[in-house]
Amino acid sequence: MEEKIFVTRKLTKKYKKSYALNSLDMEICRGSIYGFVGKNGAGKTTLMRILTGRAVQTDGEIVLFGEKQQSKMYIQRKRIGAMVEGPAFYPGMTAKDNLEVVRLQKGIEDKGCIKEILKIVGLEDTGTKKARNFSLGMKQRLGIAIALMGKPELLVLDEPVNGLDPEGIASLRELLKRLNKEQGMTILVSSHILSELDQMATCYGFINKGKMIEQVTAEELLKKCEPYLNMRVNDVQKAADILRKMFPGNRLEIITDKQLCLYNFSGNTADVMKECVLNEVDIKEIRAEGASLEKYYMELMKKVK
Amino acid sequence: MINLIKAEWFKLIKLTGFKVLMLCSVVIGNLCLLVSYLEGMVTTLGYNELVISLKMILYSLLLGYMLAAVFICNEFTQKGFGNALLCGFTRKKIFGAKFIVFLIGFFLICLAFMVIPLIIALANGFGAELAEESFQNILLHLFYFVLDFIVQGTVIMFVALFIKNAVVTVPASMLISYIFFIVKANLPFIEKPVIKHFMEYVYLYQIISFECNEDGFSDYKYIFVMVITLIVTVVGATFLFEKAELK
Repeated sequence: MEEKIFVTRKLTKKYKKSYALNSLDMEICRGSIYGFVGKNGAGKTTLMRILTGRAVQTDGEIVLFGEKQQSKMYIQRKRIGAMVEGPAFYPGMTAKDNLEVVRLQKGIEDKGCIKEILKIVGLEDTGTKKARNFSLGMKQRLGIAIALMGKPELLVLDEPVNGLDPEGIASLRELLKRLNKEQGMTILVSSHILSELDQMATCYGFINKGKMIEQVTAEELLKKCEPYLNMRVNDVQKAADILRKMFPGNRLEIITDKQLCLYNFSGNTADVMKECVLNEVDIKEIRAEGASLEKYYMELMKKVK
Repeated sequence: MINLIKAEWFKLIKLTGFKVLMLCSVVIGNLCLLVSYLEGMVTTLGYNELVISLKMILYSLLLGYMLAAVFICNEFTQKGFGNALLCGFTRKKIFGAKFIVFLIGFFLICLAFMVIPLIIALANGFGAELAEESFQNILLHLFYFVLDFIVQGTVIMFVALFIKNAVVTVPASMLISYIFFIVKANLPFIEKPVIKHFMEYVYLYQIISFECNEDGFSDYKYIFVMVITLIVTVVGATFLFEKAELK
């Protein structure tokens, strides 16, 4: 059974009269890249702030690396690296000095790790340049570098691709995948750019108005999002033969004696209809369905409304 | 916690604002010496000047609040405390390390204020014989100076943690402190027995009384008020930090 390193049960955060989080239940398994999806104000950042100790919940429970007691949770937070609500750095210091502060705080003996991490994020040549003079992308990378200090077991990134150019986004994506694969680092990442999450997340959490709407693995989501051809016909066996001949590699499922589905469909429905007519198969209904993560998310939010 | 203190010290010495404040402190010390001499407040550049400079804590208030603004308030906007939380420390320890290093920084600024007077005092052989009585007097003033600066530093820390905004902290705190000075110096109702009895338990009142050599100044009351103020502000500051929502 996969180890759950972060669990919330009925987590609630109230600000005056409004709920930022409302009985949120969430689980993050070790070794996963958890894509946290929700619109602005849904509660993603609030959850990350509570996870990292910046805020305290109003009600509910959090379990971090197996620790339930609030008073002892600070010890487990040493295993986390985070960039929440933008990069946290000292503008008057260089990139190296900013990492030196973290190295001293975490009690890391090896001074060489600073150079190593700066190289990983591409800031090794910043020299004496003060962080206040960095571009937006450089500041973002500095924030990620600070989060990576001490080789955390759980990396928490709140919209890390903000301000990055396409090359930077691709580079970050590859870095996160490499850290996950080589070091077994668990990553919690929120993003508005769903196509980016699509390319690296192994599981997803969809949040809306402080509540978890759905948690799915990437495999489950793929099945839900996989484009397919949905047909209602008079002769399901004949229709199945036609589809197998036209699309030999695709998965075919006969739902009922009148309905069948062809998965991973990328062809032309007009061609399918033409073949069916030629072979005397009556089509009652034919629909090409399925969605990208973005479309899935939009559909999910519509259902919630 | 030693790691936290090392990190805070590193941050302090790298802070351009701190270096500027140290320089300002030396300059102000020089100016005060010059003004005191020109106005005939001191006729010798020795022992008396050193004693007077030990009582100049009020002048360092502005510098203290500015240090608090750049060293404490900016941590809230720059999310420095948020990073410290991910190093395996409680909020109390993070606050403690910040408090200790802030006090050291404030002490260095206050000390920088006295560098020139001290050098001149030493160069002039104190302007009087360094007898047991004068030596005891210096030690007594040094004791009051240290107590003053610890209490002032703690109050500044409390105000900075309460306001959390560098731009607002300096003018707001100076307004509170200097309005008190003006009221005490100029408004006769302060001397009415009931009001005076209450005001005597405000630490600023005690500091002003000490620095101005006022009649009725009591060492015991002074120490009592300062210690109580210290305890209340440390507890209050710790509470504020424990409950604060951090970025």
